[in-house]
Amino acid sequence: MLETYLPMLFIFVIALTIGAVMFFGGQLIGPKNPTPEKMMPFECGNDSQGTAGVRLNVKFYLTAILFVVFDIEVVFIYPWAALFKSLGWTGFATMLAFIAALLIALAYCWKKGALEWES
Amino acid sequence: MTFDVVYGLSPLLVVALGALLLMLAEAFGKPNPQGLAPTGEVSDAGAGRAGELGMGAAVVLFVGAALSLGVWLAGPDNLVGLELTRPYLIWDRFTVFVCFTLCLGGGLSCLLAGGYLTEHEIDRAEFFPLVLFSTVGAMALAAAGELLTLFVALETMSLGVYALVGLRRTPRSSEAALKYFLLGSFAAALMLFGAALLYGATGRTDLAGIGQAIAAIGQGEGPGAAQVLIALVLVVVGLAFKVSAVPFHMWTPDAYEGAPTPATSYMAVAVKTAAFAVMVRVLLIAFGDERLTSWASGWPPVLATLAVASMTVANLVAGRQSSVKRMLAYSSIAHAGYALVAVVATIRSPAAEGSILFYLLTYTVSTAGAFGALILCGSRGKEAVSYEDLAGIAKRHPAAAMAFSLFLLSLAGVPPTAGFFGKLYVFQAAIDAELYVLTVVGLLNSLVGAYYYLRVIVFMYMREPAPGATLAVPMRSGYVASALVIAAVLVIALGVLPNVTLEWAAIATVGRS
Amino acid sequence: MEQIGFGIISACLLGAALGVVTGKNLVHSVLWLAVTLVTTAALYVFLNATFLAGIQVILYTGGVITLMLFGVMLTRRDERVMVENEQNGRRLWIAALAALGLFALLAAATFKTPGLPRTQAEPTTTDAIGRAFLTEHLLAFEVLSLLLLAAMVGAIVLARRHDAGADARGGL
Repeated sequence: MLETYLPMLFIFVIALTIGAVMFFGGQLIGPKNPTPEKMMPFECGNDSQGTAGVRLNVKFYLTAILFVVFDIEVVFIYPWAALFKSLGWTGFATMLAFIAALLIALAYCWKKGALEWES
Repeated sequence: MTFDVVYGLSPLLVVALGALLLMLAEAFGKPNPQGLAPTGEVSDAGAGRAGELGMGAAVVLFVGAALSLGVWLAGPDNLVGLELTRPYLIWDRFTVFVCFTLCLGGGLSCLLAGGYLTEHEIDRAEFFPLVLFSTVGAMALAAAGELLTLFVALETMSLGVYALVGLRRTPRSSEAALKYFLLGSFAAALMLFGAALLYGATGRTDLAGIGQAIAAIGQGEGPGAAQVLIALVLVVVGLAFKVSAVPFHMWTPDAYEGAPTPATSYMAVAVKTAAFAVMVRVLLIAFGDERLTSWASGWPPVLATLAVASMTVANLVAGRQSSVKRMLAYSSIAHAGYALVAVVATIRSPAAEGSILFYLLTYTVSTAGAFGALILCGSRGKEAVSYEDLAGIAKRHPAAAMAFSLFLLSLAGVPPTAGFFGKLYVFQAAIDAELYVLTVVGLLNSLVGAYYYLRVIVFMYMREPAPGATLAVPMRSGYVASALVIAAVLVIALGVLPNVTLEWAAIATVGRS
Repeated sequence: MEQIGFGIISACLLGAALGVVTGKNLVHSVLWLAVTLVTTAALYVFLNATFLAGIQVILYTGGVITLMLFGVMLTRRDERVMVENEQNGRRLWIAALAALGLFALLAAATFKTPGLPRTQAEPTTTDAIGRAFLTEHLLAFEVLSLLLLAAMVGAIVLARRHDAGADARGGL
């Protein structure tokens, strides 16, 4: 039954190969003629300043964590969708309660402004 | 049938619905213009309304407590429909008693927070929905009779508290939240690992089924025993983290000290109570097999060691603290030790379960009261934290000093307060179970413990503040005062008339086979 | 065939996990963790738990790793935060010994336990998982929705900036 996943294995292998070729190919076959200017990090013609790591706004974090929360809810809704008919109204009521909580969550973070970027 | 379920679970349902409503009220309510501080990230409708929301949360929780009382009077066994929730939630008298204690402790903490957050201008009314969500988790945890429900409930309880600890954004508070979160998740992971092993060895997730399967393994001296033992160790370690028993207490002083005081109070009472409830249920139902409850080959010696270590270490270290809040943190570890003595006593004494419940109730009212009095003794920018801050407070605010003394005496176990009877019944159960060494160690520790409780009283009544020191000025808050009155009445009532409550606690057992 | 596949995936998993704990750069560690999680998903496929494998990729690699990367980048330029993975030789050995000891203990206990399925497990279908959640574990499922709400409220309250008022004045 694992044969079902053979295509996925192929995709992984092909993706890895293409990535590796692009990554190392340039190093292997490209001409090397370094000058000090070429070795500098390039930043729109200006000398680059500061370090490479930029400190992100905390909003990124908030967005990411909200994404995870709603993602988990989706994970639970998915198997329900597969069973929608056979579970009938009880299943529907169960899911309704769950989705009501989801709705409250959405309303809450909307009102709190957690979904807005500018403030 | 449906009515039975709804009525039986009403404490849980009311608190859950209350949490949702309060969450919306906090977000959608009309902002109080005075409290509106621009915070940049998210808008704050709840700002400046901590008092009202705290009142709302406390009312919800006290209604939950009243409903628990109602369910108790109706008798959970008579509500036939409650069978439906088994084995996922076991709604017996044990659970209902614990729910009452949890709602009471949570409600007192919410009242305290209503005063505290307003006084210290902490615009974080999210406190209240978080407490309510956490209480729902705690009640479900106390009722959980199945591993998956148990884990979900445990996490629901813990997640809210992690956020509560970090509510204040001082470095101290953030550090406390981080420590508590890391160690708490680690403990939860250990428990989950233990649960997985249990499922692997027995093929069951309900505690009763696991108990039967383990008994079957025991009879054949089956080879699954090793896996069961490892699972037992992991589960005990996870729970010991949650009740903060030595040596798994490292996070407690820092987390308790860094958290806002009402949150500390909530952690000390509710989290500990729920964790003890689930510990008793898991140990007696799932690990209640004869071999596992015997002194030679089971959990009693492990828990006895934890109990002795918790009492001794915490009492010795508590005396050396200069911060009263930190002292109270160590005191809560010591109290976990006393309760663990009663847990060990469950192996031979049928009265031990009741003594744990009664002890947790007395501990809840005394501890919430003590933290409340500590809150009352300080005001904005002049929070009372050290012994020196409390020097001479009896002259400046006699009522606060008197309340504080009452709760400390109760924690120390001086008659006729609630704490005395709590300890008395625990030690009685221990003697019943012929655990003489544990009893003696516990009694000695109570004596040592009295020293640091009395030291606070000495500072309050007999010391003058150092000249030129900033005085902690007691705050005025109806919320804190009413919480203290409720706690004080209960401390005295349970101390003068312990009989009714004790009779009730005595019939609240987990129903081991 | 399956043995070989299992071997390769386990090797990848172990290598990636070693990468997580030995990486000197926190970002690299997080990326190694992503590899670890994806290979774990592959292991789930071997156990015939395809739904779980899908969830693993969606939630962990999609959500949690992103969250962790953001978390690392939030603290990146803060000198107070140490992001180096410093390793002290002795501690490393103690940790390695403890891990090996635990592994030996668990392996011994597992192999001594009879009745563990040693053959191919029955496929755990999405149906079965959904049915378990929506019928048997109904209560846990509804409590779970409250857990998610608590997590969200907690995240929002923690992600807020310092209050203009009280916190600056201190206290504890």
